[in-house]
Amino acid sequence: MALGFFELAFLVAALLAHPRIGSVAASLWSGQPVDGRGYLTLVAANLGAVVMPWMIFYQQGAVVDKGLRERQIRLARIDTGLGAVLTQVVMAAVLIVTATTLAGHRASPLTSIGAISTALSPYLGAVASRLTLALGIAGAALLASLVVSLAASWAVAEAFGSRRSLNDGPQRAPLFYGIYTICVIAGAAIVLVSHSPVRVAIDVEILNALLLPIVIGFLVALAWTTLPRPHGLRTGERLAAILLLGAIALVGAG
Amino acid sequence: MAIAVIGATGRVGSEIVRGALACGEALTALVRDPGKARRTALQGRSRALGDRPGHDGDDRRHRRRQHRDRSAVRRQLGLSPSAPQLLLIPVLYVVMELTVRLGATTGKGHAEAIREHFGPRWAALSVGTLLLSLAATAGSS
Repeated sequence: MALGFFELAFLVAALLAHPRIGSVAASLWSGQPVDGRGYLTLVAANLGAVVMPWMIFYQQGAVVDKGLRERQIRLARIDTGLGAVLTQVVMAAVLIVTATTLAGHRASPLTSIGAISTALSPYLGAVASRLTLALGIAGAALLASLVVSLAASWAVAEAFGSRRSLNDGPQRAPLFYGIYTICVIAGAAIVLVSHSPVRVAIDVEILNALLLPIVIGFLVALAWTTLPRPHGLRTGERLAAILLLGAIALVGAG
Repeated sequence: MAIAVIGATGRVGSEIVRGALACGEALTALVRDPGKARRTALQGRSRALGDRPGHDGDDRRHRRRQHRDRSAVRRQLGLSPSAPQLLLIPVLYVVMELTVRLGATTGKGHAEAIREHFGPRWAALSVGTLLLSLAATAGSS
């Protein structure tokens, strides 16, 4: 939980960077460079970064593992709504920090975290810029490696129908803990051998966007067929689900 | 080397741009007409700064053009991608809410529910997509 708070460092940085509020607001509504192919790729990457396949596996697994029941759905909805807003505000803050401080000052591409940190330092101060990025990224990475590995372990154990609770020890759920360990080690190995983390990140997000129609397809199909009576999809929700699926498929195809 | 080219869409400028890009140099192009810059070699390769000093024509047209140019500049500088972020809030909410509802009402995990309702093959496909994306995500995050 505390790890996630480090991400709030980006909100502070967004304020420290003194963006012109007017231009930030204006850019939200106009001036989207929709005509560029590069931009479409970025949108797809963005979608793949925000709605990631593992989230669905993780969330459903976590809900089950925590023993959340129907009574708590209302609270869980509020929790989900707050989470959706907060994560996107943090993401927008990251963009505002980089765009405000870099706009018009720099032409060379930002292909590494170090380059981003160096580019930001004249405007935020060397210590503040390094600390912001380090805390934000370390928090995100720690959280992600934990959550992502858990999601994989749950999914594989579920597919094989074997034991899969954090409340079981490694002896009682060997497959679950085995996959978990492999994920953590494999993740570290990939980072150590790859050269540019930023480039890898964008490729992964595009891959995610391509996989998303399948993943959301399964989610919608499940919701459509398995939700019990009082919680079933209403007509409006069915419509929204179809629209969502269509939009995601379009972005994935583009 | 960082290069700024004034008049990058002109006869000489465009040649310099082409040459510099071919050598892999970082380039800033100053152009009067962002539309023209987009149609030429500059497209997608660099940022274009637009301005029209001393443009002749009536005031309103001039102002309109200036506005367009300024928004072109803003675009190229990349403030704008924060809009999709806000649009994604409802998308994210719908997806996560469905997930929570499924978990809380059926008491089953995602892959488990797919296996029970659609069969082990579909479950394998769904876990396969997950592992494919994870193999990459765990590395980059």
